[in-house]
Amino acid sequence: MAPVSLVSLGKAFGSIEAVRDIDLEIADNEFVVLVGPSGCGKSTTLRMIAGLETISRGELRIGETVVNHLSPGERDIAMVFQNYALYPHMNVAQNIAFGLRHRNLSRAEIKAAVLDAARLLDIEALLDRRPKALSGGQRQRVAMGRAIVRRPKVFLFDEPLSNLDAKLRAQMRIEIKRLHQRVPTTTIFVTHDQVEAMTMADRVVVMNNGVIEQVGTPLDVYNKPATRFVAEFIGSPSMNFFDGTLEAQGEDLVFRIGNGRALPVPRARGSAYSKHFGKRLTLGLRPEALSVSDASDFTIEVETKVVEPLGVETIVYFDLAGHPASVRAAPNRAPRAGETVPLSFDMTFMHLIDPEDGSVIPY
Amino acid sequence: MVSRGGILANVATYAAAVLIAAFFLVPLTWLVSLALRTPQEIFFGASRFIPENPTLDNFGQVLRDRGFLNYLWNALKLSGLGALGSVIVAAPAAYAFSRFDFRGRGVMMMAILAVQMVSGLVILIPLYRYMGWLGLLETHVGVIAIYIAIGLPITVWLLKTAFDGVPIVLEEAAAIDGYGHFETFLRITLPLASPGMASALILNMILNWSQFLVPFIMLSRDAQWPISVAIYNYAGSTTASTTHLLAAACLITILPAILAFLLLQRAIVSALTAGAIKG
Ligand SMILES: Nc1ncnc2c1ncn2[C@@H]1O[C@H](COP(=O)(O)OP(=O)(O)O)[C@@H](O)[C@H]1O
Ligand SMILES: [Mg+2]
Repeated sequence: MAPVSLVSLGKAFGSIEAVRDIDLEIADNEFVVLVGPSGCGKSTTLRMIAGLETISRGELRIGETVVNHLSPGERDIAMVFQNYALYPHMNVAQNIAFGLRHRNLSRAEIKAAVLDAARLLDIEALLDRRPKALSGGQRQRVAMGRAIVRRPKVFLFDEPLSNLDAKLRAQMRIEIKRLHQRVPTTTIFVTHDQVEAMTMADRVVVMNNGVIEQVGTPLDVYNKPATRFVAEFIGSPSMNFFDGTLEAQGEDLVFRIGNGRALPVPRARGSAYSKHFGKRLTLGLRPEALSVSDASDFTIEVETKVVEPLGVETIVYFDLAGHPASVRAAPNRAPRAGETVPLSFDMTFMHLIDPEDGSVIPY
Repeated sequence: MVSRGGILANVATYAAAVLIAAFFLVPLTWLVSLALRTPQEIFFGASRFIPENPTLDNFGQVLRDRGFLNYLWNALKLSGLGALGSVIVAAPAAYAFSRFDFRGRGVMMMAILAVQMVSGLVILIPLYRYMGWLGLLETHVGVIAIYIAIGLPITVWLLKTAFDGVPIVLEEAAAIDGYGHFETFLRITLPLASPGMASALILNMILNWSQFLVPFIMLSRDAQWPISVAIYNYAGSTTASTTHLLAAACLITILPAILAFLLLQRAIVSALTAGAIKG
C-alpha cells in the first residue's frame, strides 16, 4: 500500500536501450496495467521496479523512499511470474510461507497467515501438495498466495495468465480483480493482451518500442487514442485506417479517400482541423463507427470478403479504397461473404492521424 | 525400413560392441572362475573353466581377514572424502560458470576441460616432490588432496550442468521473498541441483576407488593402503596356493564400483550428456 513513482526511468543492455524516459505516477492502491506488443519493454520496466534489473537512468520511488539501490527483498514488493516460479521441492504451504521466514514471526503466526491466504484463494485443500501435483490454474493461485501472504506495498504481475487456457484466463482475470477489491494494494500488471488491460486496469499504460505511448483509463485509451499505435493496438477487431486528404467543400470539411469518395467531417471538428487542410492524413474509424445499412444519407457500396459470426455479433471484412477494413453487424442482419452491401459511416467517431509522426490530431 | 547400408552399419556396431564386451568380460569371468575354486582346482588352470566343486569359502575367508577389511575401509575413506572435497570445491566455480555472464567464460570452461586431458603420469614426479615439500607424503590427507584436485575439472562441468537445470526465475522469486544470494543458493539452488550433485559425487567415488598410481607412490605403510594398492602388492607375492583368495579379493573390490554404476547408470549418463544435447 504505497504510491509508486517512475521518473525518467531507463534501462540499457549494453548499447541497446530497452526502455527510455518512463514517467509514471501510480497512486496508492491503484491497479495499473502495462500493455504492449512482445519486446516493447514491459518486463524490463517491471523488473526494474522489482529490483531484479538494475536501473540505468532515472529514479524509482516506492512510497516516499527512493529504492533504486535497494535489493528486491528490501523493497517490500511481491511478484507473480509467468511460469509461476513455485519452489518445486516445497509443498504449497511451504511455498507460501517462504517469504515470511525473515519476519520474526512465530510458527503459529506464520501458520495463521498461510491459512488466511489459502482461504482467500480457495486453496486450503492443496496445502500439502507439491507444485508438480497441481494444475496450471492451481499453481497460479499458489503463486498469488505467496505474493499476498506478505501484504506487500506493491504487487507486480508479469503476464501471469498467458499460460492458461482461454476460459481459465477469463475466470482468473475476475478473481484477480476481486482480490484487489478485498485486499487493496498498489498493483502493476504486465500483459500483451489488450483485453486483459482493458478489463482489469484502473489505468492502462500502452508501451511500444521502449517508450510509453499513452496513459489513461481504459475508455480514455479506447475513445481518445493519442497515437496511431494506440488506436491500432487497443480494440479488437482493430481500428480501420484510410489514407486520404482533408479538403474544404463549400462551408463543410470532407475527407477524400483513395477512390475519390469524400466522407463528410462533422462541423464541430472544423476549428481543430483547420491547420491541416490539404494535407495527406489518415482517417481512423473503429468497426462500430461503420454499419451495414443504407439508412444514412451517405453510403458506400463494398463487396464483403470474410464473415466471422461470433454469436453476439458478426464481424464483416471487406476492402475499401485499397485498405482492408471491418465492420460489426448484428448477427440476424449480417451479409454473406461475397455480397455487395451499402456501408454507412458515423463520422462523429472519426480520428485524424498525421502519418508523419503517427500522432492523433487532438480535437 | 532399413537400407542395406543401414543393416551393414548395425552389424558392424554390434560386432564392435561384442568385441568390446568380450575384452572386459573375459578377464572378469576368469576372475569369477578362479574365485569359486578350491585350492586344488586352481592347478587345473584354464582346462577346467567351470569348477566342479564351486565354493564361496574364499569370499568368507577374505572378508574375515582384518587386513583386508582395513584396506577396504581405507579405500572407502579416501575415495569418499576425495569425492566430497571435489564437489565442495567445484560447487562455487560451477555456480559462477552457470549463473554469471563474464568475459572468457567459454574459454575458461574449455581450459578446465583441457586440464582433465593431462595424464596423471606426467605430473607424478613434480607432484610427489610438492607433496614432500608440504609434508603430506605418507598421509591420507595428501592422497585426498590429490583426489580432490584430479576430480575438479569433470566435477565443475557436471555441477555446472546441474546448476543450469535450476531455473533462474526461482532464484529471482527467492530474492523477492527477501533472501540474499548465499541463502538462496543454500535453500533453493542446492536442493534442486542435488540429483546432479549426487551423480557427480558417486562418479568421483568410483574414479577414486579405482585409483592406483597416486596412493601407490604416496603411501608405503601397509596399514594405510587402499585395496587397489594392497591387491597389487599381494599379486606380486602370490603363489598358486593363494590365487583363489586373491581372485575373491579382486571381485569384492570391484563389486561396489560396478554396483554403484549400475544403480546410478541412468543418472550418471544423463548428467554426463545433459549439456551435450542442449548445447
Ligand atoms: N538481459 C537482456 N539482455 C539484453 N537485452 C535484453 C535483456 N532483457 C531484455 N532485453 C531486450 O529488451 C527489450 C525489451 O524486453 P522485455 O522487457 O522483455 O519486453 P516485453 O516484456 O515487453 O516483451 C527486448 O528487445 C529484449 O530483447
Ligand atoms: Mg515480457
